[in-house]
Amino acid sequence: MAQVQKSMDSSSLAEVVDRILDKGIVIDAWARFSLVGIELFALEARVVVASVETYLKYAEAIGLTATAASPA
Amino acid sequence: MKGTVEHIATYIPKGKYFYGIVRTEGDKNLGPTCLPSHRQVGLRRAQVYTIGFKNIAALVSDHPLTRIKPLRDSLAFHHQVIKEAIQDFTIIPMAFGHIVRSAREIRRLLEVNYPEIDEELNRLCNKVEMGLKILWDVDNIFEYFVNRDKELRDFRDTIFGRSRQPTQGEKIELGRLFENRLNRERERHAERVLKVLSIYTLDGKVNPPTHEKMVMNGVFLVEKGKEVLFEERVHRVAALFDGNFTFDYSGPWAPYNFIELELDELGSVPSLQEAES
Repeated sequence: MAQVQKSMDSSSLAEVVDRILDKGIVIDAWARFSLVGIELFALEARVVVASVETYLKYAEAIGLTATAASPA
Repeated sequence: MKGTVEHIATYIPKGKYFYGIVRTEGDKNLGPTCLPSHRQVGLRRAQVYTIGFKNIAALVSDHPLTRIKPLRDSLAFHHQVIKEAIQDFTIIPMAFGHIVRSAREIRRLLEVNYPEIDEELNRLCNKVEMGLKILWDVDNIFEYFVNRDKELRDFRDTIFGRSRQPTQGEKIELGRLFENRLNRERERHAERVLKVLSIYTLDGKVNPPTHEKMVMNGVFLVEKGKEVLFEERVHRVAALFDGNFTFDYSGPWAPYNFIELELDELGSVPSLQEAES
């Protein structure tokens, strides 16, 4: 059976950031935060975008599973 | 001379940090009424209060009119205010970092947008958001998929099993095949989960996954007070999955992912002389 856990406040900072920076109402004229100076954890929640680089990264990682399984 | 410069630099106009809009029953105008309970502490440990119009009000606290950095402490205070507010109110949360010059501007925003805000607060009345992330709990997600998918395995062996290195094109093709399998599995699992949870939730959405090991990034709208029922269902659904999966739920949250409101910012004056800090 899959493990179930509840994210507590301390461990779910990424969840908080994901919501309060990206969701919620935005009024441009009043928004006064800039991403300059943002702490690194806030970037954690960015979405993985499919790209050639991603595909190449995946292929390299899959290539490594071959060496691990059957050393030539 | 130096003293003069410092004197100018330390003058920062006062503003109001804006957390969200709540429903306030009864009074025509609550005015600067504090949150009825809890810590009532917002950014910079300032007191949180409301600025009302009819039966809606903005939750604010005093804050200098400066640019604000999304640092850990500020984010935590913002979050804490919203979190406490959802216990007593239906709230439409603002995104982090809204500072307004005056109570008058906020009141004007509430007044101009009253019908839309009123309708949205009615729609979201007594509803909270619960999050559910399902993850592949495996050391190596690539190995996990390769071991379960013959086509992926064969393709890997073909292009990596030769004396020469795979071409760029072959690698891209393999990467794309992996992603295709990843998304196929994600959709299959999400469908199973949503089917069970949809009976117990008012609305549900799947947001894009944020990394390869994420199966599903789901958010659900749940009636306030029924969070425990939601948790029970999550445990039931999790029982249908083997040990290669972890179910990670969170909440209750303000209904961030279910807000369908755009505010007309009438009354905001663009030519504001702004103090940078």
